Amino acid sequence: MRTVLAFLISVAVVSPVCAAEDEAASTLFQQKCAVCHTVGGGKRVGPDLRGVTDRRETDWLVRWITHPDQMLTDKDPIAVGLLTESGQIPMPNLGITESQAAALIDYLRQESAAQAAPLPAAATPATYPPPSLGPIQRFSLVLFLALTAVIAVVFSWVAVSTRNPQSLDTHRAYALRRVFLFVTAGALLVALVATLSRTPYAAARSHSDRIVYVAARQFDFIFSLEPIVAAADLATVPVVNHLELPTGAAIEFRVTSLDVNHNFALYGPERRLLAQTQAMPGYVNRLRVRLTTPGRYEVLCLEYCGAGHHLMRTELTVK
Amino acid sequence: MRQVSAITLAWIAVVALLFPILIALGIYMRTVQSGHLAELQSWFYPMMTLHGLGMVGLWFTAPLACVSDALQRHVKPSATVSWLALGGTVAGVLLLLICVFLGRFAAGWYFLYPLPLMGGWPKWSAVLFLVALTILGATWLVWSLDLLRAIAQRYSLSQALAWHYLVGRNEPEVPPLVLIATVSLIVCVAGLIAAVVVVALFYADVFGGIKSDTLLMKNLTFFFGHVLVNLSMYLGAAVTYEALPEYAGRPWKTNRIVALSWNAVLIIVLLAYFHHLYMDFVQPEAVQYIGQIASYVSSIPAAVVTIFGALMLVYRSPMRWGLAPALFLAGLAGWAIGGVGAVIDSTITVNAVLHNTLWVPAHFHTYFLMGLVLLTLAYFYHRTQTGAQPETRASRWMIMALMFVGGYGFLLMFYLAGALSVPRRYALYPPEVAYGASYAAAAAAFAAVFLLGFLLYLRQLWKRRADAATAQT
Amino acid sequence: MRAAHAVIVAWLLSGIACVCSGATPASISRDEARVAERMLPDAELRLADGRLMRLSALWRERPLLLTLFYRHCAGTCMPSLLLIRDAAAGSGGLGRDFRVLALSFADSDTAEDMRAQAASLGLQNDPNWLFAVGRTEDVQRIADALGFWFRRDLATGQYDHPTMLVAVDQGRVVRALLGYPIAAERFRELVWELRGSFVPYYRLPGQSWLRCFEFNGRTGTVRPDWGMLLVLAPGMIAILVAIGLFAYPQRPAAHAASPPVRASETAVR
Repeated sequence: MRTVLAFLISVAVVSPVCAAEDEAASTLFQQKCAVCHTVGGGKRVGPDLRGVTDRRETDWLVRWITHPDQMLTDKDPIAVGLLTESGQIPMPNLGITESQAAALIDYLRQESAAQAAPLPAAATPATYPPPSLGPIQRFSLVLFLALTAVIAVVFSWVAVSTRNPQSLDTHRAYALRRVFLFVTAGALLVALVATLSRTPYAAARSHSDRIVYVAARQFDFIFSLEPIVAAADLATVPVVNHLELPTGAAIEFRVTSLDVNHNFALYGPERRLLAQTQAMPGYVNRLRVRLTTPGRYEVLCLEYCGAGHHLMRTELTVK
Repeated sequence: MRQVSAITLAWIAVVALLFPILIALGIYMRTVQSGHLAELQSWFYPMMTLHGLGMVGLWFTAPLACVSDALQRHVKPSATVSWLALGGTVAGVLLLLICVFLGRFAAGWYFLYPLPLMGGWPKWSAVLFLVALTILGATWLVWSLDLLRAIAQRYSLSQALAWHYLVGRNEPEVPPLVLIATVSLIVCVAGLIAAVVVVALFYADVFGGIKSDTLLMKNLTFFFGHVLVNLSMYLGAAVTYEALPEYAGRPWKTNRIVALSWNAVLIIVLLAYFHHLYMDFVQPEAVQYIGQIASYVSSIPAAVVTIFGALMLVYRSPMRWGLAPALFLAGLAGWAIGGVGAVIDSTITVNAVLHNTLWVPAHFHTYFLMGLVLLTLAYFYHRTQTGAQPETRASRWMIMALMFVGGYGFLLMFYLAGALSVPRRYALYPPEVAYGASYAAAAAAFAAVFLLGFLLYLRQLWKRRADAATAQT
Repeated sequence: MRAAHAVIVAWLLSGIACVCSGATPASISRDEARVAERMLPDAELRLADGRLMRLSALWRERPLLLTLFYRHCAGTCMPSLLLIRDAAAGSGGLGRDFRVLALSFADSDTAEDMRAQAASLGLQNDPNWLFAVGRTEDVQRIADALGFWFRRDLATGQYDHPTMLVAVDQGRVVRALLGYPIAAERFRELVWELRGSFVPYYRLPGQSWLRCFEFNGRTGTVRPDWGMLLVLAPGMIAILVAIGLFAYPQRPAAHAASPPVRASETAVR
């Protein structure tokens, strides 16, 4: 009984405080910092900021947050060291004012303290073994290698045939060519009919069980349940930090971009590419998938988008 | 045989200088991806940009120089324009070197709007990039128009496009070279105009702040790129039609089927570019289907007319083997193999799992590296034969073996990694696709083998030139 | 001691709850899903100001948010209408993207009742809110199409009924929301669905001037725009240039044969 009471009191006391104070700073963090940093979630493009308020002096942090470009030009030793660690990706000047920086530092201090018990490191081994081939990929690879072998054999046979020169019987050759034409055209037609009916484009009147909005930006994906049209929406639209989807549901991802072209590529628990669509600024692409295997899914960016392209990823869970 | 002209020699020198450097950049890229060279990792994307732009530019201009050289047997291109073309290309390349090395410009050779303006490099490097593109585009447009003008001096449009063959008349005789060159050059003008529009809209954004529609820019950019890359391939095929018959001792002439096939290519190549936009679901569905159909259909003229035609030409012919015809034949095989990889990827439902994985560079490196490059090198070798000693069988086999093993080994690594969903254009591989690093390491090694083969080829070419010079004096 | 632990745990949990706020995903219940894609039957309705209008005329003009209620409801009708009124005002798009139609299913309600209802909500002068009554059999047909049921309790004179808000676009049900209260996020999502069952692009301020096509979210049609011309132009211009180049020069007689291949050119050594 006392436990329950204590819980209720804590929630009642902490939540409004949480809501008011955190809202401004956490929104700012979400808009400006979360692209490259986590707090306790591991390194991203930039370092994990958990405990950074203990590691660095406050006024250094304020200067760094408000004018990172200036500090790099002035060759501040810590700044230069950070630049090397990040693989030469500099922290951009985001136009953050000093009071905003102070609020962010308080937020970081709070978040770090809230994670007093160290969170278990995500159970990702350093490398995974190669995945097995997906059915489409296997078929494509086998078909490609088979046809390559055929081409190699035919060319070699023709080259070797020149050892016994003979004048060409053009009639037979043209007849053979006609056969070749019909076989090729026939095979292509069969392939067209078989494959054109199975495209990833959402049919006009079909229905999905859940709609998830995805906004891509350099170098981050943001999930939300309402459309994010411009960067300003990040302040008002609720963002889903840990997306969980039900197994077997038909999910529609509505993907857009806030800056340059990106690509939303979904890798399944077997770490095979399952589906993808482009993320374009000013446009929304609808990707319909049915995720039947429970587990952890990765999202990688598959359209080159700048220095952090290979670091741009997020996750979702299907259960 | 005609003495090889100074301008062609100059282009050979350009290839001899730039190609090894660009290959070295490629080896650097795969080495970084294999996890080594960590201290140079931050240069990956600028070098990727330079490698892409350089290779596409080099293997557009070199085959065009070959076609210009081959056309001189039939028509008279302007020597002034030819030299201006070389000069303009060199100037453009220098500007690109500056903006990449000094400005760290790294938008990739696609330069997809709006990335060149939003990538974190200084604005001046983006502007310099646009200026370089302007110079290159203007140069190449003038060059293409001059070649068309030269053809037009002798043939009417319907003759140059061999329409009279379609109705059964064989006079006037139009060599396949002229037909293919005409088709390619018209298509080239179309692609370059698209590039002009793209660059103009870029300037409008940089200097006027007028934002362009990203889908429009994407369509125009891919139209330009697709057309440019494909017509480069056709230019290589054009010189093959011209030169290979001399070794096979049989003619390869235009006839109704050849005319029909290349006229069809003129239309199809303009429509097939939609296959680059399959994953842009906002494109109207109709054009996606057009893209797949056009891509499939485009394989028919190539396979049934050009490749089959070449095999028919060589089969049991009194073939005079040498490095040049061997490279011609090998190049056609490479084009065929790359075409297979391309047609597979141009299937929408397959593209959904292969798009922007390493399968994409796999297929275009195939028909470029083991296709167009071999055809162009064959033509260069073919043209430097005057009075020279033939190469020894040993050196011919050595060069071919190194290029084959190195080239196809390098390509196989791409195909395998792409089938395993390893993404393209990643400087480093994240843990989920970390196995990509071992494929990258093997690929770097194979590419080095290919480079060795190319250097041996260059040495052979140089020896020929020296022999030819002594033979003449 | 145990209480202290409980407080710490609770504090941690509420901290996490703050971070994850808003992560309750909206889902479609099976009943709501069943209604989607249905076509509404047409009917003649009498509006609060006495005008007779066809339902199809209303939905043709602008998408409708349709809700069913009755005047003397002592249950959820009034709170529900208040909620819809506030949500519609807050979400934006009222008047531009949709109008609200509140249709009474009680055959005792008249146009006068509708005027009173509008007044009680402060909406008597709002042209984007329509209150209407219809003939009994018409309303029954509409309710059946929506799977909406209502039962008169003879003892109290009140109706038992669910709460339903339906988005109607050109007569087709785009989305339905059941139950009271309706979460604000679900309402906003409904409005977004109404703006086009698919939004293919967003027009950002100061954005581009040339597009490939215009998409009309309401009618679902795609119309080519000026940008399309730019995509088609290069090919067309190239062909014109070729025609021009080839038309210009004076050529020798058309059937001149090509010069013979010189014998020395074929010799290699």
